[in-house]
Amino acid sequence: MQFLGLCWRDIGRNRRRSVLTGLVMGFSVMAMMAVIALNEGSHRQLIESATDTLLGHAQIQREGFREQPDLEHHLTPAELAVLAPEVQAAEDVKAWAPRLVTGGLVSRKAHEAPGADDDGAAEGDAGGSVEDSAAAEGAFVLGVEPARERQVSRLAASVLPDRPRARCLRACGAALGLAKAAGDARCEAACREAEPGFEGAACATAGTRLCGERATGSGPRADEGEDATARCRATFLEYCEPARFLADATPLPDQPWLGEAVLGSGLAAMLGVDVGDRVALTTGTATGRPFATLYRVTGVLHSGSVELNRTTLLTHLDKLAAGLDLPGAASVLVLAVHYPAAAPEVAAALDRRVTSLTPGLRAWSWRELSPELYIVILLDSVSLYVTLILMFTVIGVILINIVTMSVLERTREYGVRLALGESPRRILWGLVTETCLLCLASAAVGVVLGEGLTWLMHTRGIDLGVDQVQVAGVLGQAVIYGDFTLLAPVFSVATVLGFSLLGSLYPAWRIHRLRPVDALRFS
Amino acid sequence: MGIAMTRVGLALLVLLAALPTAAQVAPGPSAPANATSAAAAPPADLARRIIDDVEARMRGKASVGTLEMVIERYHRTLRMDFQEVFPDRSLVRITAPAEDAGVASLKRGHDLWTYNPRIDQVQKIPPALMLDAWMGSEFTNDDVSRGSSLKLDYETGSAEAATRDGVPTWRLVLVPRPDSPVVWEKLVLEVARDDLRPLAQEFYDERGKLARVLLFKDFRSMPDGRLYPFVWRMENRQEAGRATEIRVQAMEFKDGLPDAVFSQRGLKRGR
Repeated sequence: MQFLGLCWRDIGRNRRRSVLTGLVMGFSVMAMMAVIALNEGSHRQLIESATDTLLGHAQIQREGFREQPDLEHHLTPAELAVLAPEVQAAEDVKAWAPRLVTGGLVSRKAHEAPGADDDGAAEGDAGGSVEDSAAAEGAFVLGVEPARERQVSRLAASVLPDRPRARCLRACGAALGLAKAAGDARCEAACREAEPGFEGAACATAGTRLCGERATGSGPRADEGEDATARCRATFLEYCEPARFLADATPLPDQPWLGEAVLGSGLAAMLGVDVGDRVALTTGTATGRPFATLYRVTGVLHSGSVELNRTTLLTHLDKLAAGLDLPGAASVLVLAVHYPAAAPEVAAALDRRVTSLTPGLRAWSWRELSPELYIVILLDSVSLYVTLILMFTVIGVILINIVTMSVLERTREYGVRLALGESPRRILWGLVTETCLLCLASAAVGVVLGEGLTWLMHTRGIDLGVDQVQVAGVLGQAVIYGDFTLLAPVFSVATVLGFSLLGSLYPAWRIHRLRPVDALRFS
Repeated sequence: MGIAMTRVGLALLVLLAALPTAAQVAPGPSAPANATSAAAAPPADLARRIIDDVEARMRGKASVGTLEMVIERYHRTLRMDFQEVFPDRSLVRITAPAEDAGVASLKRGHDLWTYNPRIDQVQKIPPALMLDAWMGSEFTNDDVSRGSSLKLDYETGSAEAATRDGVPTWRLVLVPRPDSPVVWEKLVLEVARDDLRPLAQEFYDERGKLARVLLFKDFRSMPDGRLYPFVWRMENRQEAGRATEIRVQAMEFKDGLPDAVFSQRGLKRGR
């Protein structure tokens, strides 16, 4: 303890030098911690953008599905019955959800205004020109269970909110058969009477009342009968409801060719569809038959996945599976784990269990499912740490200079101590201990400041000022947040301490070679 | 010294004489296993004649008929009506089984539309999906939309003598023209040597591997005297158990068909 006390006293001999040295060390620790925190945070956000949408933290699939994601490689109902309790009981798995994956052709179904002819006159078929048919796009079709899906992904939360006022009024006018201006006025009045806030849901109620008035003769076109009234009311319910994700309960279970869908924002834009519109999907079933169905668009989503936004249609799994001749089946089980950083280990443990229970099935973590994303993150981290080490080599040279100057200044003192019988080894250890004490004291301050800076970045983030950043098919966020990690302070302090000790090697060598006589003569 | 030089010279002479024979015996990369060496050099204009004959034989100005398509992978058989105007109009409609009746496919130029009566929707197949299966078969949408463009999209090489199932044939390699939007690295068209009727068409992918083979069978005489294949069999050579056979049940060549047939209304008429 006396030795430590002496070393600490020696640090204070030249306060200015010690403070400057400490500032270099402390600032280095703080800066390194901040950079690491930002790096870890940006990587976490990137991974979340992928895992919270399509990937999940892990998936259970049939072997060969990754290479050929078709209906042939599906999980049978019997396999799902075996897997579900296993996955449910796994401690590390927070939630799971089945998905059915297929591809198809999607196009906008021409709006069928109430009272339109059934032979498709509303579709503009007067001349029979096939070039007038709706543009179709290839789509990636996902069948999901909405309630379970909410627990494994943020797809439901990615539905863009909207105020359905404009489309509600448009639908209202068309439903009542009124010209736009008259329709807008009458519908808006009815909606405001129902709810001053005009939130759309109230318009649905108000609109159905208007349809009723129409049927009883107080409104226009009162002679069309019950079917027209029903269509009128249905139009309101479809177009005046605010955007939402798929309903938990599968709608219209007795109508296999009608359902609900949520479209990616890019796909919706390409098709020119909005909430309330209908889209047609055609595809092939697992037995090679043609399958076609109509969906009402309940919402448009915009997620962190470029692919999802541009190509995806989501609908209810059970109805889709039945239509594709795969009742009760799924393509994958998507898993969410409690600790995302441990997802690879959890997937590896599950893989061993799954392959023994259900041969032909495998469990993969997001790393295997998206190797390009993993490689990008790995390369980014490696380049960061290499850059940091190179940067601290420069700082290390500065520290060598400082410590060397300190030893040079105290040469006479060392000469006196050597002449009084103190061993060179003790003087050398004293130098090393001083360096360590100064470094640790400075690093402690640096860690406190670094954690403070990390907290600022964690709460407020750094706005990159760009609209979208795309990395390996994933949309990076424009605001990056820092993350608290144990790695940051440990790596930073270890690096600074290491370079400080390295910096004391040359001065220590000088002391080791010092002769008391020469030291006493030094000026 | 003189004797040694003579011996060396003789050895060289023998070696040089053997080279052309060795080249003839070694099979080329595209020759099938049952290739035999050419009995005679093919005529100079043979390649052009083969393509012209195939096009003339397989197409009239217009045709109507019924066919059966057997998709072996799914153990399914579809019955269809077809109407076609050479070179770029066709309409095919499923008539059986009942659950799929009314599904139709319309080609105009290189564009393809599909119609499903269940949802009463006409959809144009986008270019990105042209390689998808047509009606679940081994034929692709691209096959249906580009079936008659050998002359336009491919350059012909020289014909090579071969045999297929004991029938002497000519094999003609077709390579895509630089500006042709086709997906195959090359095609090989094999025709009977005696009357140039097509027997097989091989499709090679971008790696030069044989992807599939279209076989023409059951040739029958038509009223106009031509021999027409009533069975078209597409075999997938990269995945076992996948083949589709089109069997023409009835066919009639016509001078023309109204253009209104190949319209949206015509596409929906069967609902």
